[in-house]
Amino acid sequence: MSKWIVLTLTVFCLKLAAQQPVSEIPVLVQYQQQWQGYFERPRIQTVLAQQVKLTNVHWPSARLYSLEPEALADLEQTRSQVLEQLRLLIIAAAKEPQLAMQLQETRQQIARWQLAKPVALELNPNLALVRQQHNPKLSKGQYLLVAGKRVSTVSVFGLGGERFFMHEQQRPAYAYVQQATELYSDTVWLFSAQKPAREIPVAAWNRTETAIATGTLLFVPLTDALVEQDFPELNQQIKTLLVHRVPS
Amino acid sequence: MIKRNLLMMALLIAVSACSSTIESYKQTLKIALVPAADVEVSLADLRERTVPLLYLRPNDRGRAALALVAATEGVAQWISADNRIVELTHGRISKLQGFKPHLDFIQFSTPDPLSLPVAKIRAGLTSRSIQDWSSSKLNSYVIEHEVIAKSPTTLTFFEQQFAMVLVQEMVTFPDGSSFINQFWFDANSGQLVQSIQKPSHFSAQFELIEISKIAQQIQVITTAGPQA
Repeated sequence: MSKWIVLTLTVFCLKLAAQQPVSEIPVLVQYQQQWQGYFERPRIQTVLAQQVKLTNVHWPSARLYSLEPEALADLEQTRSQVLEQLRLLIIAAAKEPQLAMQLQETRQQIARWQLAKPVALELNPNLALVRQQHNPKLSKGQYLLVAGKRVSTVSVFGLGGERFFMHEQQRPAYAYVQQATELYSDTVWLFSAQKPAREIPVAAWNRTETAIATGTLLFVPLTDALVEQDFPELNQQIKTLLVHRVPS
Repeated sequence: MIKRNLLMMALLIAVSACSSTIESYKQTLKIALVPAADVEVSLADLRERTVPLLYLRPNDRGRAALALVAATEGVAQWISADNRIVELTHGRISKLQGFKPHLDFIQFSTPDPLSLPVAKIRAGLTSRSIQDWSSSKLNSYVIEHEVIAKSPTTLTFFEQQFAMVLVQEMVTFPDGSSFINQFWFDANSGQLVQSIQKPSHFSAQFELIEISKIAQQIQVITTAGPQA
């Protein structure tokens, strides 16, 4: 009996779907290359339950991104500016081949990043189940859901591109920066899923022993000697791009 | 190719539009919840409930009853009346929500011994798990597991004695301390029905009893009548 009800409802819904142009579907969510549409604004718990069937999803590193064209256009403009500034730096470094190569690698990696606007929402199916504030309705729009396996590394991004190191319990941020030997800065920017970016001290005179989560990205800004005179906004613009970078 | 994608999208939209919401399910669930203090649910009550219950006792404190929210392929989520969630994977605590800190994730480098049929669990089996807790300093928390004993025993529920297989597992935590987890499997069905386990060196030890499974077992015995 119940099979017949499900079948009837499915046929009814297929008819509805056929009549509704895709552009008029209020909420579209992309997950692992597939799109799912919602006629009514869904609560996040519904989206997570329907999209993610895997049992070993690492929810602390999961994120939802908005794919709204206006936000993406602004980001692409910032990326163009960053790439152009790096191009000029590469030309200026023609007499220093190693520096030029490091800048080139940095530029190539930034050019490959997928960018989107992160939605400020902690994705946790269990919390969504019991607390309404963790289970809001999605606004109209197009979204990208990134939820997958646990990342067991910490990455350090700076001149020369991104380097990866195994995450170790209670290991502080400065230890990973030290491991990326050629990079130096008094402070780095820390990017962790579901949390705002923050600047933390890592030099010998100011560092703290604060441990960082697995999957964290640390951005070591390009040195003042390299960018301060001609491109004072470059590090801030790279930081903006890193906030919006979708993990690959 | 484009046609296939459009068809896939239409199907997904259809499924989405037809799905019932979690809210309506939670309304049903609320009926099954019982207060979280020294709970004792009668056999008759357990038989009447449509939502299975789990007894949970942290350390030596009062026993609470949790209701089943969802269960898929070895993973079961249980919720208490005060909205704490305990997720069990093959009977082992794999998530704790509403406890401080939260246990967010556990992953085994080789299969968890509890994922095996009880007949295949043997002393000497070793494994390693990695946990991420809500505090950053408790990310990549590594635990060594070793099954140290497996023996027949009995447990009594509702004045009836059940033949059990007790599996004892030593867990060694990153601070060097250790604990003996105990898992009782029903000798007839092979189902895990009771355990005492400690997820980390800093968390409580939990006693868990799948009381609805036991009630179901009694029902089976009663229905089958007295053995010759």
